[in-house]
Amino acid sequence: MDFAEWLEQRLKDRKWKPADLASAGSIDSGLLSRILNRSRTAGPDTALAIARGLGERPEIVFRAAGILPPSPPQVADEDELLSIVRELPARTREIVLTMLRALVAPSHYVEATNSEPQTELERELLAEFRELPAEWQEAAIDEVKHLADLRIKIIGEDENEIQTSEESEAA
Amino acid sequence: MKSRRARRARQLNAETRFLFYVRRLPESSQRKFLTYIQYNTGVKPRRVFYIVDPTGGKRRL
Repeated sequence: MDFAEWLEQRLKDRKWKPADLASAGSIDSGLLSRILNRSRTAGPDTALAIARGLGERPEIVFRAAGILPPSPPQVADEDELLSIVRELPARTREIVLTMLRALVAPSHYVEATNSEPQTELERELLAEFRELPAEWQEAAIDEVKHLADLRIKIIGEDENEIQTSEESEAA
Repeated sequence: MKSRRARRARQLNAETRFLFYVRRLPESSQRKFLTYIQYNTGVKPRRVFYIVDPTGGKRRL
């Protein structure tokens, strides 16, 4: 199910028109219509506004829009964990949640919203990215997304292949 | 003024998405992707890069 289909289903459940969502989330109605027509995708800001309008948690909308990776698979202990958490007093729940958040660093929330480079390598990558024309930037995002999704490694060329390509260029 | 702001917002959005996916790559792959992008902007001469998927398959980037 793509994002437009997911969004249409949410509107149908609420018996809403796109204009109702545009007004509830303060979203530009033209932008919303382009997202529903699949002529453009929703970025983090728009996804956040859609979450606000629908009253859904932002991570649900971010996952549907493909900004965040899909939810990790269920684990065997999660029912027990949930029942324990539900019985804890609010203050203790808050402490447990803080500890759990610290354990799963880096947080996707921070990653999804922080556009400031954190390392020298990120600074260099961002500087090169800014040099690209707008249409190439989208292609670069698609490529890096593809690499990140498949968790694949990039390797340089083999020495033999360098020679072969140089020879063929010289010829 | 409004369109300049919209352009800036679009650019920021693109940069955020780019960094989001870059941060999910191992550092060695980030470094190679930098060289790959520098080749495309004309900073570095041409090099051929391959990607290796978890099953060991190797193909050209």
